[in-house]
Amino acid sequence: MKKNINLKKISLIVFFSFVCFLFIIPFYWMVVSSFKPSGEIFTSQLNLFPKEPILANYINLFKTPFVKWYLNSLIFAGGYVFLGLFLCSLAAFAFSKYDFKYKNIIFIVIVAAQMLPIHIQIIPLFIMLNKTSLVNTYTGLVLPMIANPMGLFFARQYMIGIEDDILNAARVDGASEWQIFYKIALPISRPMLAALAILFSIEAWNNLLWPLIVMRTEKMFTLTVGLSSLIGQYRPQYGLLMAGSFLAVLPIVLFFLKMQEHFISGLTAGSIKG
Amino acid sequence: MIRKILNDKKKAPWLFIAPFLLLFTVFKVGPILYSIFLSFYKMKGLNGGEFVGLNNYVDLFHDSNFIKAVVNNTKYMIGTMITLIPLPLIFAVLLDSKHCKGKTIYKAILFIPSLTSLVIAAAVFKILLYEGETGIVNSLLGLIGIPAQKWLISPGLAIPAVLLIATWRWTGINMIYFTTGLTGISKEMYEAAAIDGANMLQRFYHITLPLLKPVIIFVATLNLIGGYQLFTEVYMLWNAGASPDNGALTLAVYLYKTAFSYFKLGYASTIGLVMGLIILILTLVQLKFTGFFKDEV
Repeated sequence: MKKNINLKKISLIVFFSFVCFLFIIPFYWMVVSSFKPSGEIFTSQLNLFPKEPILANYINLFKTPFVKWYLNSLIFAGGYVFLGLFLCSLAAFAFSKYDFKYKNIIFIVIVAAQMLPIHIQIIPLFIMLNKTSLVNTYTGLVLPMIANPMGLFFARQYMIGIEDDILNAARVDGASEWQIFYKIALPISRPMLAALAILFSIEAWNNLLWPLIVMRTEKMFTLTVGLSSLIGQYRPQYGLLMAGSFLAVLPIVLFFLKMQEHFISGLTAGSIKG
Repeated sequence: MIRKILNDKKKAPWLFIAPFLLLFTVFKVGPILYSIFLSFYKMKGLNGGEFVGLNNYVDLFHDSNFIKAVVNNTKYMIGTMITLIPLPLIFAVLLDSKHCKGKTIYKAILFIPSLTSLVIAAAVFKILLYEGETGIVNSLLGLIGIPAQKWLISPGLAIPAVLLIATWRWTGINMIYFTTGLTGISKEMYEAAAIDGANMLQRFYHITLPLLKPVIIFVATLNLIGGYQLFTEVYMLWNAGASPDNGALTLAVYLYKTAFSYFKLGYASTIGLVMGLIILILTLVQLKFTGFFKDEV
């Protein structure tokens, strides 16, 4: 019996080590390629290490507007998270803790709309942004995205659980409805807000299609659009692309390793039925 | 005035939902209606166009590119059902075993790809899928005796190439969904079944699978919706989505090209609407078929 268990343990370790090895290859290759000259990335030899590691890709990367792209992505993610969370939790509070006319119908319409892909809105949005001169602006990038039905849905699921007694006690003490939201409901919802913030920031950080359409000049590109432009041009620059990719992935991975539990609860928020 | 409303329990909720509702109406409902309107027009640039009735829809169903895109999206979607449900499920079940050591590390390594932007994932795989014998994927295949494949050149391998990226990118997150589902199943149930003489496969089939059904439906729905929205990987792997012989042309790529390369905004809106309709109908059919609505009652 004991032998049997040890065999199980060992075979599981072997199995997962092999799977993890396969999953790490792309990261390894990204880092290694970022230290290779462009000519060495596609060669007739398989170089597991760069022959002579070079920093040229990183140096050249900073000659592109890479830092600006980084900044733009941060602005996009920051604006999306901050405004999106505020809007979603404020509306979610109303939907979870008040009774008002048409409440359920409005809520169902909002959640049902989430099933339609953004591709339906993209062309009208592009025309609207053009007519209001919001193309190529941060406002145009962030504003159409923040009324996120999924965010509203998760915030509501969480806020339903807040005890009515706490809210009523504050009412008796003379707190206004706004104060009840801002001073009581929001602080209680901190775990939900953290989870949603992670979800929203990853979504903004990784999105390509939307910023590709809104941001039209190189200086306004987000990281994803900027990186994609490095191979979209006449002379693809894979070395730069790998260096940029590495620097773009790094903060998310470090952040993840530090706050693993929050990440996982944020990303699985959708799968657990409330 | 606002202060007065904020003290009124009847009126305050309206003020609370107002900003959300306003943006939702302007940027979601409005554009959807506008899109329907556009689909009846042949647009000339951004300003005005000619009313063409249902012509865009008629053209669409005779458009070989559109049909190709639907077929490609469907192939990809079915592919993700075959890889992105069983694989993460098996990983999750094995990780759940008490004999498994080092779970946290495995989970982290398998999960990190899910945090990687698809732009970056596709960029790296563009190098890994290099068609020479020294390409990484080809080298690995060589180890088990499979000859080098012309991954990004041969049209028939376009969708499998995208599927490979999808497997790397989504296995971890789906595995976490299943892991979360598994923590809800009590260990006693397995022990009781084991005492009754059920072997591992029987336990998996009679306990794990039925109890994980909601999570499986959830993941399948994500696969379905994601399958028809495929864009970034194709855009990156082939220069702005120009795959060989349109072997990986997808609805989203076709919509993007129609709108922003050919400026046929009316026709592109039609593509978007039909795409939305396909996703909506398939999702509802799938949820009905799997009995999702019954669970709710």
